[in-house]
Amino acid sequence: MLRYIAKRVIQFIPVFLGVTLILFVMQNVVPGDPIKLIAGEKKLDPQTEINLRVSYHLIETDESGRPIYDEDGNTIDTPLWKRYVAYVSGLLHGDLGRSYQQNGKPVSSILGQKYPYTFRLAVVAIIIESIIGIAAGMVSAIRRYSAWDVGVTLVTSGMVAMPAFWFGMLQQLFWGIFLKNVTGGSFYLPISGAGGPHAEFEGWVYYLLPALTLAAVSTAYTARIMRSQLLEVLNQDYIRTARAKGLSRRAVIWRHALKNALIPVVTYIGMDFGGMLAGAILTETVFNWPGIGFETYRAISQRDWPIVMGSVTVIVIVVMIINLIVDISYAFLDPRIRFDGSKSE
Amino acid sequence: MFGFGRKGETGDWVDLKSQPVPEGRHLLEVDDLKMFFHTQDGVVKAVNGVSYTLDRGETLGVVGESGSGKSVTSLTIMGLIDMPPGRIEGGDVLYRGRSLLAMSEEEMEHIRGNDIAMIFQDPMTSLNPVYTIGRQLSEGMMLHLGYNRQQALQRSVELLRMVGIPNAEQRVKGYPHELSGGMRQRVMIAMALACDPDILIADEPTTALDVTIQAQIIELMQEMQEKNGNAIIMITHDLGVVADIADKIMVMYAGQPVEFGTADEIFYSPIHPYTWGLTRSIPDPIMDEKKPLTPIKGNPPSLVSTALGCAFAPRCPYATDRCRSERPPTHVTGTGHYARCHFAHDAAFVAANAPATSRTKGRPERVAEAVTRHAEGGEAS
Repeated sequence: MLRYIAKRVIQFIPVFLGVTLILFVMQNVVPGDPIKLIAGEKKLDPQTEINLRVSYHLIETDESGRPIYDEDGNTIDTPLWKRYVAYVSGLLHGDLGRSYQQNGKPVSSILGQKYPYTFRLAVVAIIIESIIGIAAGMVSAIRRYSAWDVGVTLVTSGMVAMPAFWFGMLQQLFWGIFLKNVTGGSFYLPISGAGGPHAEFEGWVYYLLPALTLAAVSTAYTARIMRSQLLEVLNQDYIRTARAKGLSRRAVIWRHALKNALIPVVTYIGMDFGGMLAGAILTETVFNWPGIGFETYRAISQRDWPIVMGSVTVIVIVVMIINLIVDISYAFLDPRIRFDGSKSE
Repeated sequence: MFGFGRKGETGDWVDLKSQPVPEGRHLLEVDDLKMFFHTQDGVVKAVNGVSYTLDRGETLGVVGESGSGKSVTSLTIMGLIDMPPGRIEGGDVLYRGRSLLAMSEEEMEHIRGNDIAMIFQDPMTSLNPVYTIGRQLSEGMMLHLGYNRQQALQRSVELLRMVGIPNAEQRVKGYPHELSGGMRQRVMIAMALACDPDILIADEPTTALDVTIQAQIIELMQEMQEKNGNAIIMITHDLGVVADIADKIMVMYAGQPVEFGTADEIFYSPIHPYTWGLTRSIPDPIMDEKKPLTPIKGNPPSLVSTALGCAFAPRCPYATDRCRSERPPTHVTGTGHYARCHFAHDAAFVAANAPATSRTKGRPERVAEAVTRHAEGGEAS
């Protein structure tokens, strides 16, 4: 097992380098000079501009940090590969560079501020997804062809088909505006932001709608996977064996069918959690959620490349770790899977 | 709602297997049992009038081709048929004089695994892959015998040793995928015998195993029967399997028993043309010249549209117009040997058409003959 984990961690390295390299190249291929972006409409005097270029490592400097000039008195652009090497070595020290906006704040501190929101939203969404998805799938499979089953199938089909931003807006309309009007302003839910010390509602209320929106599609998938898996497992010979032993129908489902049916469901939920930790750009944008997804959206639209680079880098690492955890969890759920190949003859 | 419960509510249950069989009753009596499936294509008459009796220590062989209703009959006895689509259309199953069909689901849960246990065809898929063998063995004992986990595990080790699994102490902690098919079938047998049942139903227990293992499994079941005195219902499509161990044999065709009798009667004096067809298709290991088997021509009929007359008439070489239009009555001989054929009572017809090439009483002499022939041939070359 340890050898397997070590192998997987080593495999992280090429994936990580590949992703950051692609991003780094892309950022430099797209038109637009960062310093002009920072300056915006303002006209910079030459010395300030050179200072800025030095601070973002865009031109060559000597040891003391002063720019180097060529014979014509111009600054020398640092080549792309050198900047990439500098970026990666900075990463290893936890330095993700600085934002082009927000007064050049370090990317790591911006992400550090945003990430907890994304993480907490993902946790709430995954709890909703697991509970509702698994329960709906189970009911659907056990009471196959009943009104419950038809209802679950219809609702999940609808939810799978509905884009997250559309579902989010509908919820805002219903919970935030329609209900507010109908009840004369006495009951409604917040539709924007994550609350704060001076907010109208208690903190947890702000999680409801974004988490529900974020979980909607995956809850539907979870329910469908759960239903089909449980139906398949209930047809297995070992279920008949368990019944023949004298176990009740309920005991057979809870003890023998559930664990087998859950194996693919847990995989799906795990992968989905990884996806959610990568930031839900649509959901966070619709709800003005101050998470990493919204921040990435903002950064892309304002060409704040260091933030895009930084958040993608963090996301790659998080997703890789989650995938590794999901793979390892197989071994605990399914004894037939052994990673080192030494235990099963 | 989330009950993982032991059956606390019915704590006053008295094991039927500990009570005597009522006077004039058999251990198991199946009487004109009919199980039909109501499907979109029509009514499938999967079991249509099956009758037999069974006593402790006896072995009943149920023989027939695929789809003849062998398995459905035993699953009906176990109450493991989903209803709907299944429905019992008549008949009864009496276990120690009590009707299993009239029992509630809860009562049947006491019967299953405790009084009547079952082994299935494919040992590769009949064990739950995610639980240890010990846990799966223990389950029944904890349920029916009130053992705690420790006792049940201890007994599991004994059971595994009994069915001939080496390293039983290690194996209880192992998972099914670590065992071969034959070993898994031994585990299944151990599991079925864990609560010392009255009746062991084995549904083609050797079909998925290779031939050398088949013999071992059959022997093991016999050995266990001698030790425990339980009855066995052996379902198979292979007459050879039941030949050595069955006391009684029921031959099924299209959901109906076409002939029932003692093993001797079925092998040495069969009276139904379908049984003749089956015996003709057993390869004879003694014959040394290559000789094609005699198959029964045609296919088994659909169970949805049952013909007016005898179900076997379309494939029967002796069928007459009467066979095609009139359902044959059950002809019962003095010994309880019965057959559903219009001509079963006609001794001359039977004598003229019964196969001579099947196992006959003269077999030992023929064996001896063949052996000497071989021996002479060996010396000559």
